[in-house]
Amino acid sequence: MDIPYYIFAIIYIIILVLYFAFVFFSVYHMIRFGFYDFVAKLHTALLASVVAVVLIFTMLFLRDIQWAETFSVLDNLTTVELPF
Amino acid sequence: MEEHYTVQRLFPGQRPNEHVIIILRRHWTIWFNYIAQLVLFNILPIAALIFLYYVLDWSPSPEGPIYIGLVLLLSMYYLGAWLMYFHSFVDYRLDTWILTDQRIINTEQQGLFDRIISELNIEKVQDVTSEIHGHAQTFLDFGNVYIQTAGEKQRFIFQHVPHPEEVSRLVIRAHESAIRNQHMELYLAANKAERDQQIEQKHNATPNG
Repeated sequence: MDIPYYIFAIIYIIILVLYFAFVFFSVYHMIRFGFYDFVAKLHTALLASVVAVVLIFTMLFLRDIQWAETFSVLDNLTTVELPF
Repeated sequence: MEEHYTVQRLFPGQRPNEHVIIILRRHWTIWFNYIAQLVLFNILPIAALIFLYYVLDWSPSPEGPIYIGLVLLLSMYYLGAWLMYFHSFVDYRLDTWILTDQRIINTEQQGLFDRIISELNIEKVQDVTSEIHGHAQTFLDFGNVYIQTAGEKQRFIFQHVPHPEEVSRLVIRAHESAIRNQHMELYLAANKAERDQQIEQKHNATPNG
């Protein structure tokens, strides 16, 4: 069975959307209940920075991938070299 | 109708003439635990990768599905670890105990969409107990404060708050002050009624006013 690489990207993007929804609700709660002070803002900025760094590195590591290419699950299960 | 505040507004729902005595959160060691967990979660994959690459001499083909899966998995792992920390921080930040001259407000954030707010009129406090257990709590001076009430919720617990003995003294003082003010208001109200009555009698006794 041949699966295109972009399936990975689609799953990743769906998870990212859920992720950003969780972040939004967390920040919303802090603002809504009146405790969005300097420390909270610092943490929000820190999280935003970490997310940006992780996403940039992910794109860097995957920039040479040909997403339209496919791979065979069965072939990979039989030929992949595992460390153990 | 716009509310006019005579005192500094420190939390949502604060009344215009309500003085905040103290806003409490759990001790910083609780937050420190979250940070320690975060550091550990950040280090683990790096250690695993170093072990796989240098010790077992294993690295996936750069454009194969295992490589793609590994990169995306690591990406989601780090995003998830930081989100977990952020969520713990929000939980820590939004769990508060507020002592004012009128009431005690206990706010507990449980998860992302559950929030419990309990309120107690300061005059209904019956008994206050502070507890410190163990070496860490003794050296760092934090513990629990138990407040027995005459309200619907029988007991308020301030968990892992700093300086619990001082906090219990503040609660007792606020309670005593509220009771004194209540008695004073009743006394003044009773005296006012008596004075008004005397004025009326005097007015009735002298027909020319």
